[in-house]
Order: sequence, then structure tokens, then C-alpha cells
Amino acid sequence: MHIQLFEAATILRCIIMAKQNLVSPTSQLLTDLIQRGQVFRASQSATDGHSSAHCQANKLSSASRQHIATGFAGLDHALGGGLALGKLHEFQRPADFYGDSQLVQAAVAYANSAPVFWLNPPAQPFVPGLQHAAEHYVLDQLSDEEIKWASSQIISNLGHGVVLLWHPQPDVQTVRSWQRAMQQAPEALVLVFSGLMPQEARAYHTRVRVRLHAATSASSSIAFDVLKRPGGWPVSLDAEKLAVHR
Amino acid sequence: MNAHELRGTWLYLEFHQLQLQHWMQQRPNCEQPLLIVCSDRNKVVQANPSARALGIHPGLALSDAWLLADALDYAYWQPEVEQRLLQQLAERLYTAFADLSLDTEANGLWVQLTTQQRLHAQQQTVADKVSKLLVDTEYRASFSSNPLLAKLGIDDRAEALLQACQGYPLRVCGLADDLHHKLSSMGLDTIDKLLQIPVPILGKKLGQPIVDFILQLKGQLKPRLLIYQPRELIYLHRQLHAEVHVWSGLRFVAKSLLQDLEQHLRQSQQAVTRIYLVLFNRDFQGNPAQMPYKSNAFATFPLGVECVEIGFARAVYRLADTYSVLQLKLENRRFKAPIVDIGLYVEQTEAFTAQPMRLDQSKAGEHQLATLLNRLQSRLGADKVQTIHQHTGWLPELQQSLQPVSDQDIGLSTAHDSTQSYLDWRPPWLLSPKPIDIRGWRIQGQPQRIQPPWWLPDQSGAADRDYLIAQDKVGRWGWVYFQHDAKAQASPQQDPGQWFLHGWLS
Repeated sequence: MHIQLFEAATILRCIIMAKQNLVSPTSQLLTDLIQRGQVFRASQSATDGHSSAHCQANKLSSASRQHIATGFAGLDHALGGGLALGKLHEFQRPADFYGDSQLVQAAVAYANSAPVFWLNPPAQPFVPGLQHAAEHYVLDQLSDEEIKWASSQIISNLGHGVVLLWHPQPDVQTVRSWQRAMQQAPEALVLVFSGLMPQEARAYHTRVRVRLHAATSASSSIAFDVLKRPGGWPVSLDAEKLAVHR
Repeated sequence: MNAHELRGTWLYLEFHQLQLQHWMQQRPNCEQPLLIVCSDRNKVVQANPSARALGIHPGLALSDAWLLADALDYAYWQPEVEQRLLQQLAERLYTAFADLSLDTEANGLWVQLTTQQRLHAQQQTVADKVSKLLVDTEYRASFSSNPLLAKLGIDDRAEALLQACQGYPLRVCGLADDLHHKLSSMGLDTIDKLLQIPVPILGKKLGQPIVDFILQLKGQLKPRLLIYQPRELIYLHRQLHAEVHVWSGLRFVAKSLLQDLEQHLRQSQQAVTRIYLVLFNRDFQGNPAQMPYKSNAFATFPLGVECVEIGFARAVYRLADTYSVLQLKLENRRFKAPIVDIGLYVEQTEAFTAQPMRLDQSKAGEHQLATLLNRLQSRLGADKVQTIHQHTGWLPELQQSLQPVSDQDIGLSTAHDSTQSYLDWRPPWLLSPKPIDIRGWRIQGQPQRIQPPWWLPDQSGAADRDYLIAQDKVGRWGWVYFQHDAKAQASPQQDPGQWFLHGWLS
């Protein structure tokens, strides 16, 4: 994260002052930082009534949350079993079709005949090539405004199902609208496929950057930089073989 | 006349210039000669009074009509338009007469009056009612004791059939040409002469058609009539108390209309997949209460009418379902002029049936999905919310298509056939075939050949395709094929075919 030294020092000072009850959580300084997406608001623990850090809350709940395996062993391990349901996951790729297919196949497998919404897919999903049954709904050629509205509607009304969303550069407001909608969709799996994004904060549960290793051998391999994950530091994973089903 | 005299009476209404009249109604102050011309023979079939005044009559060649009038305008005769207009006239008459039959060959309508005796006591009241309903339409009305005589305009109720038919020419009775020719050669040119010959003799000489004709004249054989079946039309209308400029001013009235619609649909156990909101602004000159008669002509709605079509992915009847979609459709709409009247029109309804419960998804969930799809289609447009339909086709691009979501699609999952062999393997992404330079790709594995089916003719241009998976320069896996040239397959070494990228699998 590109938090400048000055800002890092400010955050640290805030934490110390908050501990000593010298600053209110609603002070201007904190509000500015929260609005810039550089600090997450602490959440209330349901069990003991004390406030706890956001990442801690995630860590506690992730154990009981269902995860969907991506098929990439290293990535699944780093994410505590795979992609958590009811959470927002971002995959940044330098171009389309950088590991999209395997992630899409895993998502469709989770759908298990439930609805799968494809929003602005880079090509036509080809049912004979998808390995599992699902109800497919394709929303194509949506403008940025339309995709923001439609995706929020779908996520918050979907219930059990999958949303696969391609957006080259979703802005902070768009991601926040998705995140708000996700609060009403505990059983939905939502994957956002974006381009390479600047590393400023977004309200994603996990953020993964995909790297494709140069195709020097017959089978190419793929590597992931996990930029954000629940209960862990960012990590670069070793390259994994890209599965090509034939 | 009393009510008793209408028993067994048929009324025939003939509309001989339907298409022309419809055209003239769109050009109310036009003094120009207007013609409807038959396209294959270029002969006039309908002419307006201005044209008739210049001597242009049906049957005249269009080239001759041009000699008689410099500034005439003409349109080609379209039977389907006349059929549609005839249906609309039947819809109007159905509000007063329940027993209607369509004569699609001659653009006419039969009205059986026996069943209407209690409603319309006298012939004059029937005639008045018809003229009121067909106020802007030219027609010829004739009463008689059976359908054929009514169509021919022969009234035999006050006198014997033979006297009533005296001197009526057979050539205008719609008989087949060869039959008419045979009758003429026998010296039979009028109906009364024909009726004086014993039927068995005529039947022996001329066959069954002439027997049927005579029996129909005598009312002993009823012709096959095409009974008019009304469409499920619903039209609700409200007059606004003030001019409304924005959608917020219409909300209350629209809600009230939809409430009425829900009540109507609930009572009849029906549901709708499409409704039309008809908005009348102050430029509209007609009577908004009569708009359903123009239902089939939305494309040619008169000045001052805006029609908003609202489609639903699933048949609905509840206000909660319809209003939310209507709201989405209209909240950003700008009206061309202030609205003074509003109508709600439903062209077709369908029986409301409970959907079967699915094991993996509750009915409530499915209803929620349908509501969601309705909302998406209303805001984004039906064409932007699509589902995948699978087909049987020899080429991958023919094996599926994207189509707007409809009621039948909801709850249907699609999947590949898991029993298919590795030879039928397909990638998860499909592109429109895109020409590529294969030198930038690293081919892997063995090709899979897809050949045109044997029943396709050689002239179809279909050629063999060899599909392979290949890696591009950055390591992504594509599904590529070599399209052989259909003419060069005999000598593969000189095949000038082309490589295409057709899908992705990474």
C-alpha cells in the first residue's frame, strides 16, 4: 500500500490517541482517512461486546464461512480454502483470458444449476465448454453507470447464485456499492475481473493480481500476487500450472 | 317491425375499400386522387372519390390512371392490412353484437341477429347501432334470412325467394369461373332462372358445387363460417384533472390503473407479460376512451399519443410487480408535451398457472429472480438481458445463441452433455471467428476435424475445419482452426485456407 510516511504517522498517532481516549472515532482526522479508504472502521464483536479490528473479525468468521475452491492449490491455501461466499473478490489481470476460465469454471460449479449472471463478459460464454449446469443470464454492452446499477441490483436480490463481472477500472464508489449489496447476499459468489489497478484501497474482501509466466514450455503457468486477504499479509505465490482441459 | 321479425335474420356488412379508407383517415384533408393498386397486375383495386370523379375506377390499369390524373398517389394492396382492419372492425362490433363471423375473402362480416333479439328489438335499432359503431367507416349493410342471401344483398323475408332473386345476375355470385361458364352456356344467367331447374338435374350435370350453392340460397345448407373470437383486450382509461409534465405527477393515477388491472386479472385468473401505457397529450384530437380500436396500429398512433411498452420476463398480475417495473421505465422519461389523459392497454393475457416447485430453489426465490429480471429488462432494455439457448448445429457457432430472457427461460438450466466424448470437447469461451496469423501461435496436440454434414450441397461453401489449441505469445490458450478452402481440398498442399481464432480456454 502506498501510504505516505506522513499519513502512516498520522494513523499511528490516531491509534495511540484513541487508546488514551484523547480522540473521538468521529474526529475530522479519522473521518478524512476513512473517506480516502486508508483506514477501515472497527467492527463490533458479537460475542464479547468489545470492538475489534476489522481483519480480526474477518479472521474469526472465516473459519465458519464456506469457501469455494478455485482449483489453484496455492491460491486456495492462501485464501483459507478458496473464495469466501458472500464476499467480494477481485482478480486483476493484464488482459482478458489470464486464468479467467478456471475461475469461471469453479464459480459455475458452485452455482449447481442456480443462476449465473455474466456482466460484460469479454466473449460469449460457451455452454458446451462449461463443465456444470447453470441458469445463464448475460448482460452485455453495459455502460459504467448501467453496470454499477445492474450489478448492485443483481447482487442484493440474487440469493444463491454467482455474479461474474468484468470491469476494466471500477472506481471507489462502484466497489462500495457492490460491497453494500453483498451484505444482503450471504450465499452469493461474486467475482470481479478487472485490469491492473493502482494499489489504493477498495472495499474488496480479497484482491488478487494474476501474472502469467512466459510461455517457454508446452504448458504455461500462472502466478498470483495476493494483494489483500482476510487474516493475512499480502503474499506472492509460486507459479502454478494453468489447467487446460482437453 | 317487431322483435319477432328479427328471428332467423342475418346481417351482412361489406367493407369494400378498407385499406383505402384507412389511408384516407391518415390524410383527412387530402383532395388528391388516391388509389390502391394490385402489385402483380398494376391495376386499380380501390379509388377515392377524387379519383372516381376523374374517371378512375377499379379495374383500370395504373398507366391509364396516370393519363387521367397528373398528381395521383397510390399504394399497393396488402391483404394482411385489410385482414387486420377487418379484425379491428369486428372488435368494435363485438361490443354490441356477440355472434359475428368473418368473411375474409370479401372483407365482410356476418351478424347473426337471432340471438340478439332481446337487445335489439327492431331492424332499425340494429342499423342505428351499427352506424354508430362504424361512424368513420364506409360499408354496405343487408339483411336477409340466410348468410348467402345477406351477402348477395337479397332480402327474401317479405316475399318468396324466387321473386326476391328476380333478375339477379349469377356472375356476381362468386361462383367458380368454369361453373359460371357452363351455366352461361346453358342460358342460365340469373338466380331466378337457376332456381327453376330441378336441383337433381343440375347436380347431375354440374356436380356438387352448384347443389351446395342452391341449398345455401334456400337456407337449407349453412356455409362454413369463421366465427369471430375476440382477443383478450383490456383497456383502462383515466382523465387527468390537470396537465402533467413529469412522471411524478402520473404516479398516483398509474397506480390506480394498475390496481384495477390487478383486480381484473385476479378475477379472471389471468396474467400479463406485456402492457402498454398510452399517454395522451393536449395535441391529441380524438377520444381517448376509444384507443383500443387502434391497438394494432401502435406504429401509426396519431399525433399527441405516446405509447410506452412494458414487458415482463414472467407473466405477472400483482400491482407490486407491475408498478416497480413501470416506475423504472418512466422515472427518467421526458414527455413530449403535457399529459392530459392516460390509458392502460393489455393486448393479450394468459392463464395464470402456478409454477412447479423445484427441489433446489424455492418458489419464492424463483419469483424473486423473475422480478429481478423484469427490473433489469425495464431499465436496460430487453435486448441487453439475455439468456443462452442451445441448438443442434454442426458448427460451434450454431450450437448456441443469445436471446432476450422470456418467461419460459426462468428456472431452466443449461449444461453440456456429460456423456460426450473428448472429441466433442469445447472451450468455455466462444468468439466470432477472427482471422489470425498462425506464426504468432504455438500449436499443441492433435487437430479435431469438423466436417460439413453430408446433406449440405457443395454450393453452400461449407468447408472442413481443423480445430487445435494453441498458445499465443504471452501464454494464453486459444482455440484456433484452419478453414480449408472448399475448392482446394483435393490438393491439401496448395490449400489457400485461413486460420481463425474461435475461442479461449485459459
